[in-house]
Amino acid sequence: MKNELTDNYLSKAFQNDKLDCTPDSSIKSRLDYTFMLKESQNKIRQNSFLGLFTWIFSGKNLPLKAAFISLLVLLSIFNFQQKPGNFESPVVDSASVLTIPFNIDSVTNKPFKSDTCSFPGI
Amino acid sequence: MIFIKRNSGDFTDEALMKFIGAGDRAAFDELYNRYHNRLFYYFYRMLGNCEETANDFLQDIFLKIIDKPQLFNPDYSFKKWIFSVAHNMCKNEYRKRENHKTILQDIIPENIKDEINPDREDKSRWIEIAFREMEGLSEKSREILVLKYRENFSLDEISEILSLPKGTVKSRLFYARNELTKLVKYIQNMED
Repeated sequence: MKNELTDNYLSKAFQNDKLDCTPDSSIKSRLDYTFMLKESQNKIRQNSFLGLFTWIFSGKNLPLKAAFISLLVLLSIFNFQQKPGNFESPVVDSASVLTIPFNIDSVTNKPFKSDTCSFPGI
Repeated sequence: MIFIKRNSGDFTDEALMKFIGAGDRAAFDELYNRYHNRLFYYFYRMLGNCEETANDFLQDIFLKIIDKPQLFNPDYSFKKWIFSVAHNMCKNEYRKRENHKTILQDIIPENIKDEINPDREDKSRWIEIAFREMEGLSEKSREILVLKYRENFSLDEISEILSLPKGTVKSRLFYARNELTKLVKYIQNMED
């Protein structure tokens, strides 16, 4: 006989305590459905660029975006200037213009390499 | 491509939560199987032994896990976290009800002097009576008794779950046991 409930006695009592009811099995079905629904939404989101484009065209992080673009522009400028070998000269430049004879077609009055009306025999 | 079939039963609760965050349904099933009965018991006993309410709360707590698994900090114990969430849900419910206040002295007469006989066959039945018919236990006492003796949490863990200092937990446990002792005496008196 005791006046107070001991830890051991309480533990046993609570462990042996059985409920008359059990959790509703339909809860699991509803949770499964919710889980499936959420996952399907997640997958669509993962495959889209919506978030990225929203961020790019939004007003968020403007200093960061400006700094990034400035950096890109500067890099492209430096890259262009430091590699003159990559520069392709145009087909007609000031040097070649001087060497090519300037012919004008007598009929159309436009520059042409050979006059349409000039025949050697005439 | 190599597919590795994972047995969710081999993983800790915390690892399962990570998988759930990544959309692993098998992990969710495993976690549900591990905890649904325990949480149902907790809600059932904490919310006036009402099956319907316990089912509602059980569904709500797992919906929280599905909706926002990121709220769980993997560095923290899942078991402690889930019971602290359950505790907060019950606290909110008590606030809603407001009238769920019980004064033990009003229920149990002062002249109860009989001793408890713990060897009685109906060892578990008095818990049912104490938690339902008598409603003699305060929410704080119920909570601490269930966490301590049903879920076997240590005092440190209970203090984390309830966000209380350890000293307060100790004193609440002491008070809860006294309340329960009085109740059991009363119940046994009634039955004799």
